[in-house]
Amino acid sequence: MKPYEWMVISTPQRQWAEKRSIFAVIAFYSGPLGAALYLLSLFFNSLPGMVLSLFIIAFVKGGAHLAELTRPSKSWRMPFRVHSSWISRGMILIAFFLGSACIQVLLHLFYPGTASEVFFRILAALGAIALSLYSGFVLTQVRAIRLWNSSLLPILLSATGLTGALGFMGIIALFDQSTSIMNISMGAGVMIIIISILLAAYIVSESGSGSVETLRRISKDREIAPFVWVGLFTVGMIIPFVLVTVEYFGQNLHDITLAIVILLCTVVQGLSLVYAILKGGMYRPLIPIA
Amino acid sequence: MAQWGMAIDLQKCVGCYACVVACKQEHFLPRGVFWGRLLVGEVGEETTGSGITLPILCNHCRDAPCVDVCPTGATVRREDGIVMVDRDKCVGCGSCVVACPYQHRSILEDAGGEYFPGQGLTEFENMGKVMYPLEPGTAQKCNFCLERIEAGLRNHLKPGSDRDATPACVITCPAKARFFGNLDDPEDEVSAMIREKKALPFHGEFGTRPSVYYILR
Repeated sequence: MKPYEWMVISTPQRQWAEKRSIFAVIAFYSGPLGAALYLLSLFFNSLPGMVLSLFIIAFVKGGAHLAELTRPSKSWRMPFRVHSSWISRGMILIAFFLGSACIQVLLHLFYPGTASEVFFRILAALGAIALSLYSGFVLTQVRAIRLWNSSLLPILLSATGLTGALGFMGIIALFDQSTSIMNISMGAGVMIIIISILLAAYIVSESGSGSVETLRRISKDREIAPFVWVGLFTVGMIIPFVLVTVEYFGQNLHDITLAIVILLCTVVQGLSLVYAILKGGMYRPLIPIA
Repeated sequence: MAQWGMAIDLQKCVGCYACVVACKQEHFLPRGVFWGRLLVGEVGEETTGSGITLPILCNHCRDAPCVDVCPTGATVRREDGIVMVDRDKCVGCGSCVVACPYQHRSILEDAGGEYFPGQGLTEFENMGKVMYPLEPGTAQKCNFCLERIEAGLRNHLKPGSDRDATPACVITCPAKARFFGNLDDPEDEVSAMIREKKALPFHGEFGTRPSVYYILR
């Protein structure tokens, strides 16, 4: 963009997804990913999955958020504006989830199946559901950027997190007999179809709300388009869909290489989608040009 | 409590950039940092079109999205309507920058650059580092020259009428295109101007209820 075009044409947002704010991409993706992995681990009763989800939320998401801040030493102030800021609410949710999930994991280890473990399972699950939606709400709150101001966004990001979590569960299932790799493969395939439908609905709704220019930029801009066409669609959706189909119908259900490739593909899908959405955000032109 | 606001007469603005320079000078803003801007452009067809100048600054919105999204309370709307950033509280998350539909906010990346690279800091720059220290990594924007307003009020001056209590861009404008005052006082010059000349806020459809109005005719 040239200086004289500022405010005269649609202006891309540059605050998130550039320079150190690239960590925002990791933070926005790892929230739904970790939360979904925890929920799946509860479903399959997989202890490694629960521990891994805690690690993702505490260190990957937490670390990415801190790395994104220019003054992380002041971050202790962030949870105190819950009445209006989704970032504050997210901090509370992260603390709530980590606290309840840690207690649940400890109870699972030492007092499995007790009433207190069930209680903390419910608490942590509620926290995980809220955490998986929160990244989307942070973006939806920004009314200035039409692409983000969509009620479909929290659902889309949650679905992407769930697909990535299925990729992780695919690896865990190779070593953990309590987890059914058949169900995971089928789940990953179904989630890719669901994401395709959600993406189509999102694109149609955005076209209707006047974001055509934004969508055109996302599909053509040389900084974004490769992430969309290669990262999201090819590596993130087509290849893993083919692989999970092969895995499900073929004889490769216990192939670790295949499971790792599927995991990588689903993670690339999620990161590419979040990057495209963040980077693709554009402000409406403030001054009409001739 | 007064609600400070501004009206800008676009018919009077001559596009001299004095307001932009005055703002930079008042706040010792480093190279490349502008709290007030002047957009100059052309509208209409090639032969029948006309030029426009549009001075823009933070609108100090009554329903400011930047205030809502700030997770630390660093961005606040004061009782007098001025939206300001508390640099000590700002973590530099950038959510306010993203949320402003007018794109009037930015994160100060580096306050240490010299105006004349390789020549060292000028006396003026050194003075600025003491008098108006800017904090790199924090959000920044126009603050309606609140230091001038507060100092003026302490000295029983009236912002908008007395030079020493009025924002620098307003007192500098040679075309007298800018008016500042209390929007809640119907007798105030700025309120009367907005009422009589049917001044409009910039993109009122954004729903943020700006405190800066533009007189179009």
